[in-house]
Amino acid sequence: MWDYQRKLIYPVKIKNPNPKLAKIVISQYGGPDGELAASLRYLSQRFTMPDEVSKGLLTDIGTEELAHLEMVGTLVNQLTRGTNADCVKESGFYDYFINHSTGVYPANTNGTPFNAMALAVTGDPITDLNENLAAEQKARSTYDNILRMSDDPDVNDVIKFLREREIVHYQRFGEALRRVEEKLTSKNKFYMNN
Amino acid sequence: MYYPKTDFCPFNTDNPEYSPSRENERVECPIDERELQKEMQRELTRSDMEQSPNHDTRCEMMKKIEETEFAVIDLNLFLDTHPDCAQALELFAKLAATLKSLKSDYQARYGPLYACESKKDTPFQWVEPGRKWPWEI
Repeated sequence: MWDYQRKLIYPVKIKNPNPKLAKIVISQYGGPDGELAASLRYLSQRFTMPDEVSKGLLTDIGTEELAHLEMVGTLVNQLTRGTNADCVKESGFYDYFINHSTGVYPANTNGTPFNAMALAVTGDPITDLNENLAAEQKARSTYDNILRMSDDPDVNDVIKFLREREIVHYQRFGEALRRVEEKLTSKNKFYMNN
Repeated sequence: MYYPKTDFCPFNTDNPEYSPSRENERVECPIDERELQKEMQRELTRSDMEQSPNHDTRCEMMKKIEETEFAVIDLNLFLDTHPDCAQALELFAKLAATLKSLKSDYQARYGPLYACESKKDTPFQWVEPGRKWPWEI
């Protein structure tokens, strides 16, 4: 189970509303490489991990991703605060606005709703841990692209924090994968479940 | 040509050549304790807090909680994959204790961070008007 703490894992204080930027950032809320997909992926995969290290790591990173989800939701909320009809029309936020107003809905930048097809749970630890290494890099690439498009220092500070966590998670998943591989016997010589 | 067996069998993880010591070959604690100590030195004194129980003090207390909690979370992940690193575990335990006392100080002044830490009397302090939610700051 989980306990809710009435604080963010890292502070988010956006001074200037910017609906256009909100539409980019929403992708890390409900997009294929976003924080929702990440938390569901790790918290679902952990049940079939073969060793204590992987079970613990997936639980802890999955939990951290839920805190990151809250940060991204906060970013979207604060970027659309106090916005008016003209601003929505001019910014290109209008297609999102028609269905959701300024509500925070898990979708990607082009409006596709969140889909669990973005994550895999195969029950095979080698396959799942490799999936996670790729997932962390995909999220890092998306944050890189957000940084290329955004010129708001308040937003960039938050995005840089999240980007850095992807790199740390990649490192930890690499260590967990190496450990699982080292524990395999010669029967699993190609790291396959055989 | 390789074909998987038709029967599903779980991974065989009892490699007789596996030795746990190999896991710690490249152990390096991710947080420099001396750097951290310097940060922890600028603890707020009680008189500071009494002189200015205002927004700034609150922000600074929250910042210390955030920083300490970040270190605890990062050490937690590090310890997951390096369970034999004594240096990291010692630091983790120390910071977890610091975090606990920072949170209890904060909650005593500014209200609960956890619903179950609310005061006993009504109205329920968790949803007291005037307190902001994390995204509203």
